[in-house]
Amino acid sequence: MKTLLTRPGMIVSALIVIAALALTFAPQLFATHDPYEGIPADQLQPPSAAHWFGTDALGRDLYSRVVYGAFLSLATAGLAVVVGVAIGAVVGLVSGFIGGRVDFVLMRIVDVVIAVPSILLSLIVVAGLGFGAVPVAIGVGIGAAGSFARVTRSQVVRVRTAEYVEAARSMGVRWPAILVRHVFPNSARPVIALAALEVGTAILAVSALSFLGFGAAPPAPEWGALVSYGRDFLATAWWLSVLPGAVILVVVLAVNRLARAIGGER
Amino acid sequence: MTNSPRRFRRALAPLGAVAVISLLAACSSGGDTTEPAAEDLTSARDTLIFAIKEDPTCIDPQQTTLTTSLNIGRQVVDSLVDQDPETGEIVPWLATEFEANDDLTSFDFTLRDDVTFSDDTALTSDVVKANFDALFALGRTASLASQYLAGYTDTTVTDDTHFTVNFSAPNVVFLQGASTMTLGLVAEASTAATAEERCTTGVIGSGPFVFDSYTPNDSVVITARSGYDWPSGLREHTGDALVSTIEFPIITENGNRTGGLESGEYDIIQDVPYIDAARFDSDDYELFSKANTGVPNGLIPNINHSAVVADSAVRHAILLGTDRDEINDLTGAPGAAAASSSLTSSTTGFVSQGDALAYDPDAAEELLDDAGWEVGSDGIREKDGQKLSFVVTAFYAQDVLEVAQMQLKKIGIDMQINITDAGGFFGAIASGDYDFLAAGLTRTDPDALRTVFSQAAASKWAIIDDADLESVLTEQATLNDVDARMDLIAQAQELITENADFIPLLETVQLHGASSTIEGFEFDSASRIQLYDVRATS
Repeated sequence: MKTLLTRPGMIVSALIVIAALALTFAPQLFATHDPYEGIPADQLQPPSAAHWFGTDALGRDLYSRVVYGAFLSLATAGLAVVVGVAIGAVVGLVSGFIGGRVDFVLMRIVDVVIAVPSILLSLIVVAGLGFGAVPVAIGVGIGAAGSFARVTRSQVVRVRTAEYVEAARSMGVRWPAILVRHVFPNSARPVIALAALEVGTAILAVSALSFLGFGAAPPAPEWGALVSYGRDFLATAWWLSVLPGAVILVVVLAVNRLARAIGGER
Repeated sequence: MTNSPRRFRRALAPLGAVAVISLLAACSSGGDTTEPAAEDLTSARDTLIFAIKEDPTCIDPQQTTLTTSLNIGRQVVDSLVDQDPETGEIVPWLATEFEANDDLTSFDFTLRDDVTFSDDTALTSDVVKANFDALFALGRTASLASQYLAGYTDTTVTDDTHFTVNFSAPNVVFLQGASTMTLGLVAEASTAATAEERCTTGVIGSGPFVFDSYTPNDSVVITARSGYDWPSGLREHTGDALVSTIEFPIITENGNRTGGLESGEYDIIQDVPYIDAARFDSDDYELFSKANTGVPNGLIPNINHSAVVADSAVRHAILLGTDRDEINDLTGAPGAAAASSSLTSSTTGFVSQGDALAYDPDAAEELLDDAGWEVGSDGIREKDGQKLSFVVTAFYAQDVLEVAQMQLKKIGIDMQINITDAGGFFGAIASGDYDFLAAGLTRTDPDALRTVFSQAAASKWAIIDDADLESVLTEQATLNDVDARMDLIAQAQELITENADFIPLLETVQLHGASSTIEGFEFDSASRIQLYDVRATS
């Protein structure tokens, strides 16, 4: 407790992440308006007491749209990380545990995947799968899978030769059980730390893809799409891009701060 | 958008419909050249920068359908005739005289004898024949031209300056088409080039400018040609163009174009967002606007794709449940008219269907109730387990669709928006894979209705089942008598409204901006741009 209080940055970050999760799962508690219903008379109003983030060209309340967009953006980012960890962990486990030629081939493939910028990889996947939140999540996940595979493999190689694994093997435990019961749990911690760190990156990647128009179909208020929508109004209605952009910034910073703490960094 | 700019150079008011009706009456009025004003015009600067909003993709004016590319191509090719944008009258240009026969199957032309292309070859009847033959052979590759040349059989050359263009069936749009850059004439060398080659390197025309360079996704540059002396009588001056170079940088981001105009980096910019019109409402800038003619932006059904779309009660409910005035207020140009028919209000033959199209959500809900569409737990109507939901495929004007989506949701209709690119849109048309398309079609002639709605048209967008409409659309295209034809055009609009074959949403207005030092920027009758007279004052 004492360590927490001496680190106000941590407390603020934690509060922001809790708030973001609350928006994600109970947007109706926080929104002040219907995110899809425009009031034509209120079009393009600057931030005010009635419309905290102002309104867009169709008279929709931007704050409520950001609130409802949290689910799309954060859930998509979460799904992306799950996809990345799942693919990466399987490849890393197999590669590290079996070793030899399989290890060599899998790791060279991972090298190639990592050599391609992840945003480009995501774009290719999304172009193949079609537009929408799930394809974007899969695309971003595949883009991140390479680094998960590497980390997992390095841990597995370390754990594989540990004494308790040797012991289990000498007692005749079959290898799938060794893999699941002994190797995986003991190599998971760095992977989890990396996953937490990857959430922030994934939020950015998902927002970037939906900024480019690959995300959820309109009028879904995905955060990146909100920023993109505001581009045409930068000179006349700055709040349309700036405020959703600021929300993305704050959430990603907070997630990153917490993730570093999980990873053991101070 | 509530404060409409005062300094619009061109009134948004439509061309007088009556005036445009003289379009065909002008067929036999050749030879009556108005002398251009002999004003001594000069430009203070030699190079002008005109920022365009998208890559022209193909810079051959005969093949392209993209307005951006047509606007550039217009400066490079001349046409047989020109059309007065104010009156709709067809006037001489490269042809000094022209005459159509009574059933519109053959057109006689007399050419000027002093016209040369920029490769120094002369314009003769044989070159015109080579142009039309090559263009017709391209078929759907040159989709605009194939509509203007529908039924083309051949061109009979009498001598170097006299020829006749023949059609197998009456062609009501050819003469107006002959005034466009699509039927603009290119040198014989260009007619022999492949379609792909012409797209990337351009064509050799007889216009006041020649293509200098085209770098995809970067810019197009055209330079003036010396010795040009055959503008149409509609232009302000004669002789060479007033500036020596016009650069067209491709600036896709709206904010960059408007910002560049403000900073003085660009002299003219294409497509000022309506929302920015007020920003340029000062003495330093000039806004040029023109309402598009043809079919307004709206929902175009494919009844074969979904039972929901095929249900006429649903289409009628959509028609009554969309508030075109609100759509126009929120997303239209300042001062523009709300859409009120299957033609825009500036198109010849437009007849307002305003009464039948008035916003009436109660009546819409009643229609749906009677047809058995019950409101479900999520607010969306359903019948026999099927949701009242459909997908609209479009590649622009997402904001227009979002307003319609909001409005339809209130009466329990779930409209999904699928925003794709031009390739995806035309791909959907080719494969017939869409519930509704959302788009407009810009054409000067009301025959645009046939292009979109006739089931016999190769280019059709709507898949509908309306025999009465089909026969009206087919018949109007064969009539030389303007009044009789306009009666049929009026009937067609009524039929389309009665059967809810089209849900009009918004009349699009082109809005371009320029520094106030720029003069001589003109729209032609098809809302495309003429830069022959353009110049900078100091």
